[in-house]
Amino acid sequence: MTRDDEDIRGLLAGAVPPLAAPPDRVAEVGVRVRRHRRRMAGGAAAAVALTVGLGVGLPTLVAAPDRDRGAPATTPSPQGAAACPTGFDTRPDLTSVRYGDDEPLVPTGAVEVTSCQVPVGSGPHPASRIGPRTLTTGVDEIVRLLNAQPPTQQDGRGRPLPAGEQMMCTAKATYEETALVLRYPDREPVTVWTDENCRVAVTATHGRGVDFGVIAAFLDRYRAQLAATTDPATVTTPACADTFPVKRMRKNSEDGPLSRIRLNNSDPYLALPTPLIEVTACRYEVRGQTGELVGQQRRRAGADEVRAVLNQALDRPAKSSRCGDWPDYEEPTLFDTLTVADATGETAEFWIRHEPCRSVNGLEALTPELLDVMTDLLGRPPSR
Amino acid sequence: MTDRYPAPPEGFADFVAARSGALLRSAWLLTGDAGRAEDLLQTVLTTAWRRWPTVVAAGHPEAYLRRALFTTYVSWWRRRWRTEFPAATPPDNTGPGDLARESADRDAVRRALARLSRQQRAIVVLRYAEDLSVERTAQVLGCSPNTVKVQSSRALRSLRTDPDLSLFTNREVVP
Repeated sequence: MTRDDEDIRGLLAGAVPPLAAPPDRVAEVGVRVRRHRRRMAGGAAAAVALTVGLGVGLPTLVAAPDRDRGAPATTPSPQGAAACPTGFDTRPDLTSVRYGDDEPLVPTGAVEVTSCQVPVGSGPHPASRIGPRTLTTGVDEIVRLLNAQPPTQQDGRGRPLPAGEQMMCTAKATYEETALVLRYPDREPVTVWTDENCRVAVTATHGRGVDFGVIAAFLDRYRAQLAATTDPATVTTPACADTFPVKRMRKNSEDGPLSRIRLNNSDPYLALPTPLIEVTACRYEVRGQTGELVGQQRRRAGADEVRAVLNQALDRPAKSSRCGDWPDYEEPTLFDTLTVADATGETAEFWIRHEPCRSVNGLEALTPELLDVMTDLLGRPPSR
Repeated sequence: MTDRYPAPPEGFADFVAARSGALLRSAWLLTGDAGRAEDLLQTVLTTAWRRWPTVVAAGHPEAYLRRALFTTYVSWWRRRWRTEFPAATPPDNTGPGDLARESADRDAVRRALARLSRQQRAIVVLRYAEDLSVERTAQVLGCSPNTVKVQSSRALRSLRTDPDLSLFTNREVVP
């Protein structure tokens, strides 16, 4: 062995970085083996079916071209469980998967997509957590969008990362990341992990840059599915509570107005994208540290007329509160809550303070139109 | 039998546990990419799984796997990786020490190997990372010993003059 040989050997020995192994490599290989067997079996079955079909079906079609085409095809049942990840221990290393090849990110043929919110650290506030959302209609569109994701990480302007550059990730604090679990009738579920800071989507083997429009499309589809499958007669708003703790209205309170509608909404500039079924308004007068219920109104007829007013109040430029900021906050003495339920069955809550000053929580501005709505529901509030 | 995949043949899981680390390192030297290396390794393990009784009966499972690894790598370029985008360089997960220097060194070797032909790269890895003789290298790749010698000589010449590797080999450069 020459000195050159020794040098080359030394270079090669030191060149290999630490390589992460999958949690269960035998399982990964086993899945490939099963896929191979199915492909082989499928090919053989397809050949037999084609032969039989040509031999039997073609003459039948020729003999009776106008006959009924039979019952519509039913959606086959998906295999495996749509198990949402509960942490990141099973997520592949974002830098170890393969980016930029021309293979699809996920196989076609999925019949169900479940969106999972995987908590980062302790996750979001309990009131803002949402369970798995499963989409069974329009799944093909989601698969198409996933496979149309950019081949590599993109910068904020949508430009691909220059070849050879390391993956760049921002450090924005996130409470959760979204994972999509796709289920198939003929294969095990595939999990797509998205990462908001690194702007990538990865499966166990492949990675893409991610345009979060695919999540928006999922939410739009999911809302439409909910609206189509929810009986309006079952949609309702919660009744007014007899008391309301004033500390919830303090600036920076973590227990602010809750919008479950927002969790399924892809449009940040439209608070209420789905028609309203019912609204409930409650009026409270404060005694001590507690608001006590002094008026209430629940309305279903014409409920959707409130939607445009609320959307307008969200779309207005934010106005500073006339109630002062922390720690010089003036506690309210009279306020209303407005809770709406939409056709998806979800609800959203908004708070309107009247005394000692006017302000709104859950919207950007307290508009005259919104004050008119509250007056219509609960009577004229005291004016300053 | 698990729900997700068939039970592996007897001895397969033990073999994977014992030898896949070394095979994965070879796969990385061939591909220069952790994801591709794992893909390459799993591809040849899949083939071995399906033929495991035959592989074991031949007496040298690791030799079979190693040959499959290299021949699959050499043959793959036409089918899979030819149009592939250059992947972003993954940050190395290094331990304490001069992290930037270690990472740069690794990257230099990776780039230098990438400039070799696939056959030359396979020969270099077999000869200098796997310590195989010329004859054994020829057997693994299914070519003549003379081809190994010629291609090995060309590969070494290329590495000696590679600009990225001059930091390491300049004391060895023969004018």
